[in-house]
Amino acid sequence: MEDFVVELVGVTKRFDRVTAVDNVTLQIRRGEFFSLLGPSGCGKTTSLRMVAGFEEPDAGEVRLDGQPVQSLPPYRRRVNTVFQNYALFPHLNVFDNVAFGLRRRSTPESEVQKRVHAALDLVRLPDMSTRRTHELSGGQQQRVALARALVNEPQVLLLDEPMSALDPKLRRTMRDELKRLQKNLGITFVLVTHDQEEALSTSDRVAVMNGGKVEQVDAPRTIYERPATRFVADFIGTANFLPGRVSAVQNGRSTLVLADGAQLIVPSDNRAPEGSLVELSVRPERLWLSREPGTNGANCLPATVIETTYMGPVTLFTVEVGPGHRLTTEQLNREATDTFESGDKVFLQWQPASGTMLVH
Amino acid sequence: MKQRAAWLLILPMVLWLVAFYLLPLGAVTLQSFHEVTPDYDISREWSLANYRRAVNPDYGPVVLRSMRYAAATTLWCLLLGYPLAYFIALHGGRRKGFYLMLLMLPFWTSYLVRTYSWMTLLQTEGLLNTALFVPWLGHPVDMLATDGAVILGLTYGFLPFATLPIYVSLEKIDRRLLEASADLGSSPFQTLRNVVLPLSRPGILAASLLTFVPAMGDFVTPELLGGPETTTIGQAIQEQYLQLFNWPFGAALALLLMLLMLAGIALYVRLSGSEEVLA
Amino acid sequence: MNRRTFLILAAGLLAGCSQSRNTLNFYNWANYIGETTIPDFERETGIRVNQDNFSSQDVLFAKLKIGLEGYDLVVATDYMVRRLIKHDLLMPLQGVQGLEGLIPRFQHKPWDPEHRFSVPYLWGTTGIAYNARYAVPKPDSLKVLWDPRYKKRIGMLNEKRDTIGATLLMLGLDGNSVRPDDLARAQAALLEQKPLVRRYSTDMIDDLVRQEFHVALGYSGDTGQAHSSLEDVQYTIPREGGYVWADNLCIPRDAPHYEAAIGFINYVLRPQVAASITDTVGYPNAVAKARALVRPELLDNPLGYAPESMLEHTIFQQDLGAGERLWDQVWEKVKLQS
Repeated sequence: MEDFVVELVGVTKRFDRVTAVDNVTLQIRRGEFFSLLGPSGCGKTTSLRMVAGFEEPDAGEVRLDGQPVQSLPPYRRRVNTVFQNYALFPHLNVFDNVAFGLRRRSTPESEVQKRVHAALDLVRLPDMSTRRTHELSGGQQQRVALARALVNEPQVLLLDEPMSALDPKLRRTMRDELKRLQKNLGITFVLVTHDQEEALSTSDRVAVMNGGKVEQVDAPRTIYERPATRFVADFIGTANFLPGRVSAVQNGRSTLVLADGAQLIVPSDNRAPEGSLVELSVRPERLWLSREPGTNGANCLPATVIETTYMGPVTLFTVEVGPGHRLTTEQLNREATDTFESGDKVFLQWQPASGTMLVH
Repeated sequence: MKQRAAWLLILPMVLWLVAFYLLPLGAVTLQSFHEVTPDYDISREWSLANYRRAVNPDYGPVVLRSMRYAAATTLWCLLLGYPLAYFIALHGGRRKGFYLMLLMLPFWTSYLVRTYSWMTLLQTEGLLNTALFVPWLGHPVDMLATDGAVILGLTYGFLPFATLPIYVSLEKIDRRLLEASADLGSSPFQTLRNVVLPLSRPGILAASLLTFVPAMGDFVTPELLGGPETTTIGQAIQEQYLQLFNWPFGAALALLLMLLMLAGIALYVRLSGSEEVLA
Repeated sequence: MNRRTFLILAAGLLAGCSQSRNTLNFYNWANYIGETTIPDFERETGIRVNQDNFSSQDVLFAKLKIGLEGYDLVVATDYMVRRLIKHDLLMPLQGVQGLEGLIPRFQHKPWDPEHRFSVPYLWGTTGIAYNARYAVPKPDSLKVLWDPRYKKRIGMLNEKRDTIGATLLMLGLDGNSVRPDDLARAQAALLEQKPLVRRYSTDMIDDLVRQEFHVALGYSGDTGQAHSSLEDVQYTIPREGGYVWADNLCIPRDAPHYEAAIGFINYVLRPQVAASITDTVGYPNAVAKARALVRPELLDNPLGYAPESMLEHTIFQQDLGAGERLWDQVWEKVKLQS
């Protein structure tokens, strides 16, 4: 049996008539870096707040270490939170902010001293302990918030959009720092974010949420390359979609027939037997353009270039494969690459393994 | 050019201050250095007689009593106003506006009328006695004309003035700070003590001043709910103006009271270390 | 800046008295006019009457002395008439009719022997009001106001002339004394009495009806009004004597509507009008012919027209002159100390 430190089992939370979290089940492993990713209003923050104890679920169970906790107040749960905008206490200096949790647990003052300084060292903020919090930069405040939570040695650290207030460059640094901390401390991190890059780059596993439901829980690579739903495919990066019908399934490869009769090969999905109506999803960078049809087993569709956009390292092409049916592709600008102009008649190709079937 | 525009902008305020504050205050100050003639005219000579007379021992107990009333009123207003403000600000939800309106509702009736209705509640034949004390104890309890009645009346009168600034300061507290506190292991009571109270200190300070200062000078409440032994400095000043027609002496008393309170406020602000509240 | 200019600056803005021709600004005690007197007068003459109330004669004096303009007609007690005349604050009356019809007791009194400035309006006495349910036996001496049995149930008046005066009478001294010794004794007696006093009242009627007072220094007519709400409230003129006083209609020096004020005085001197005022407020008026028209229960009644036998040992309050300051000092001391 796997060791889950946080579990949501069939959890539902409603605010008035809006269902923020709809029958969600999630299991987070001990010691992993787990992200809840989704657009705003998808229920990710509400889910996190139910773990922290700020919200009580209307149905279902929240478990910490296997114990149901959904009716325990936050101060009885061994989890700590890093808040969006940090929520540092403005009337306390840095030291007292970090010491806040220890003092509530009547920790001897000598130990408070030791642990607060250790925590400040950990987040690389030594010599700041007497500063007022409003004198600190955003990044420094972020570190204080981290230290304030980590000093309590929680079982789980919850991070609610912790980097949304930082500028992009700083955000990247903090991201690496979070990853390093998580590795070194071995504490379970649960990160809520709407930034896919943040989620993909830091996490061991990502849960993509939409409309109060979990769409997919997987490792970042799987999420990106094998999105389970059209929403995930569309939300994470960009994707091209082609609707079709499964005409044959053989040896792990399925044949897809498009409306105009063209045939494509995709990896099979056992939810999509022969005859199912599905959508093929394929990432723009997996597609390539050529003047001649391919012969090496790649999928190949005749297309017309509609628009080209030069982006520096890459060029984006919008092509039309059928009347009104447009796809985008991305080509690295290498020295010897052929350039295409709008109006060119071309062939759009990709390896069968690059496509994914989305089942409705 | 720019500077002139700035002057024009603050001109109305300067005029307002001059007309409604500096002029009357100046007049009162000048007057306090004259005396009343036996004909009840004001002498032309300058004199310190009023000030010498004001420091006579008769006024000491009156000032102390007024301070005692004002301090007790402030304390009660904070004790009652804080939970009230706390409830409205943190648990008022969508009814906040409604609760605030309820709080302000008494202002729609004249203060005099409201204080009179306290008289009818507290008097010997009043509601409290006939409905509670007589059936319970067998005899009425004397409530009017006591320190308690005056403090009750003042507390009642100033409670909204104490509640509102506390409410404002509580309202301004970021709710996430409360969550952060709970998240870090604070029980609701610990959160109140370690986060909410310190962060609402400006409101508490403002509430104390808005209660103490006017309560110290009030004369209507002790006049109606008090008795011969609850004379306050406000009543003494009023008496000099209206009954004894000694405006210069009344002016001297009023100015001394003002100085005393200014000194007290300065000290209070100093001790509580909250200069920013008045800035 | 003198008090006059100060007041014109500060209070003048608020006075808001209408300056139109057809107006009369009347400054009176509260509850001291007939129920229909003003509306009837307005209907008859087309003059609009604004009534404003003072709480004590001292307030009246203060306002007129400061020179607050705008009042056309004021009600001043006898000793105050003298004081206002001395301070040159009144205007002589011309065109008043019916002076010869006044009760002789209120004609040609020392405060204004020729009625040049004042016409008696209502009169009454200052004596002992008591609640017959609690005050047993029936009080007949001012000493009852010093009786510890009535601790905190004793009422005095927030009017220095009455309260200090009654104390002088209780002590067997002249009720208008300005002798420092007499006043020192009165002060001592008042301080001794203070712990027993419920309050120095400005609203005697209410305090009697609410039974806050069991024995009190009171005015006859006010006590009469209290009596009609609560029958237990009674009144007597004590054996040491009491004050008889007359409130008078006077026109202040700078009255803007002199004619209207004279008209109102003449109107009030009509026997029917005077009688209806007395019927409302309980205080007898000074118009001889009105006596036959008032509610009969007010006759030969200490609350209304006190019998002659009672009036015999009453005295008028006199202007104290420079001695007023001594009374002020006593009053200040008594009010402050506890």
